[in-house]
Amino acid sequence: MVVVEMLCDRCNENEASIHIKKTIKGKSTEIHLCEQCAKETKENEIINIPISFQDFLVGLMDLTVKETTFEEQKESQKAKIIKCEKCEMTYADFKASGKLGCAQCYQTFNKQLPIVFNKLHGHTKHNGKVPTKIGENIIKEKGINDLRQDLEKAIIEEEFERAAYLRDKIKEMQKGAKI
Amino acid sequence: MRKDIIVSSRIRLARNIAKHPFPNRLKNEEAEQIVKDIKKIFSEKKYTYIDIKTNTRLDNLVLVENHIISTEMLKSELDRAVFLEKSTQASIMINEEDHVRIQSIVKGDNMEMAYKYASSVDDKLDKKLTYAFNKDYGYLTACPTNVGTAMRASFMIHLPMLEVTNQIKNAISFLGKLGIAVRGMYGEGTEAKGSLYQISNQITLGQSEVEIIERLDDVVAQIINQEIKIRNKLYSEQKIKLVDEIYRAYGILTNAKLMTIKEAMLLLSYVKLGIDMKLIDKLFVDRVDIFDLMIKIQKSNVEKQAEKKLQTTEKDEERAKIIQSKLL
Repeated sequence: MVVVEMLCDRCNENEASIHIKKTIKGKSTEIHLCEQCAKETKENEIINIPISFQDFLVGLMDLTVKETTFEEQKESQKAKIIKCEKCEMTYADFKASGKLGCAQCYQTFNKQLPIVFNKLHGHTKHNGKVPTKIGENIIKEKGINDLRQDLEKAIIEEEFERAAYLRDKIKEMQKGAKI
Repeated sequence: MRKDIIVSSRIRLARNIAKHPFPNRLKNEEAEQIVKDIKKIFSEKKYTYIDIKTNTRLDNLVLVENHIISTEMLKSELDRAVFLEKSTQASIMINEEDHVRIQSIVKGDNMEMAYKYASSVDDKLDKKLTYAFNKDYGYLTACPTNVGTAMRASFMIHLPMLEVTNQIKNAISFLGKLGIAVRGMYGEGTEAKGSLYQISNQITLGQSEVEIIERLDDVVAQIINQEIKIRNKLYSEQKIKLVDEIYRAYGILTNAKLMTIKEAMLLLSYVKLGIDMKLIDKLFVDRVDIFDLMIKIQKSNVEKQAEKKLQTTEKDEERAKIIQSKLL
């Protein structure tokens, strides 16, 4: 990870740890201050306004930050109107509330969510406990995938007897896994 | 010393039922159904059932102060309930931010036990319910900050010396960068009172439960080392001042007729420090659990013990009495 140090706008000596973005009548200005200077200037008053956790989260979910190319902008516009079929939550709703509406939402916003997860957790893949019922299926699914790869290999290598055995085994496992 | 500084270890697991929308999009009939379904899983013999909607406001506030339910639980309009496992005191909140929130708090430094209790409740539910789970994202939660393990591990720790020397501020901002959150005694947005801090993991996706706990444990060990360092320095350089401060706190607590919550928490924090550093005569405070007392003197607890609605001054009077009944 590259950490870019930003110097304080006022003293130009210390690292700026307080970043203020003001938007007045649509015109935005940014100020970067170190803790000492922030205390000394009136900007401190602004810092004292508590920022809620929800605001913070909503900020993270704003995909517009990453928009650079026309394509990406189009993608982001499209994302806003995506709607979950099950609970009718739109991406705009999600951005406003910071909460998803149902399990289906995770499929619906499958394209956008990994960006959010990466910002929040630095990861996009679960690596912990698995429910027993679903867990069995996941283990079976992985087993089936491994067998499929073996099957392809067997076909390429023209080991048809082995291929037939693998094919039957996959069929058998699929029955049990109910995928 | 570590075992005295860590007041409690807590695990919270969030779970949702696949077929229902999350509570923020849930119709009340469905909320009712979820409570009913879960009631069938938890037998009356082993679990106490509390209906949050029909419970009195005061009783609910006492549950919040006792860390059995969250304040979030009181805001919702939906049918809500909490189950208390009688043997482990694990609590299971139904229809909070997620359908199920399992929480286990164990006294002292014992995160493994807390996880064991919470996880066993989880396994029990897992047998009967189909959880919202995705093999890439893990346990699915209403808020993306919880997705994955959906686990929050949190140590409640007593840091009076880091607070007095103002070092806690640096620690908090540093910990934030490591994905570790620091909150007050009553969670998000609350001020730390009595120098009690909840230190918990922020990251829930990509790390296993064991990794999360190990990482948190390492961080907490560092913080505790700092706290102990300052305690030792003060002890060797200004012992008499420290002892004086602690006995003054004890003197006021045992004699004052009115005690505000703010003053009581501050003074009890000193007494706890005195007990943990063995600076106060054991005769005075033997077997007093200061953390328990800190909870018993919270607003709603005081009112509950008095069994009537109290004005501010009456509350302060009652609080002083409660403290003296324990300390004297």
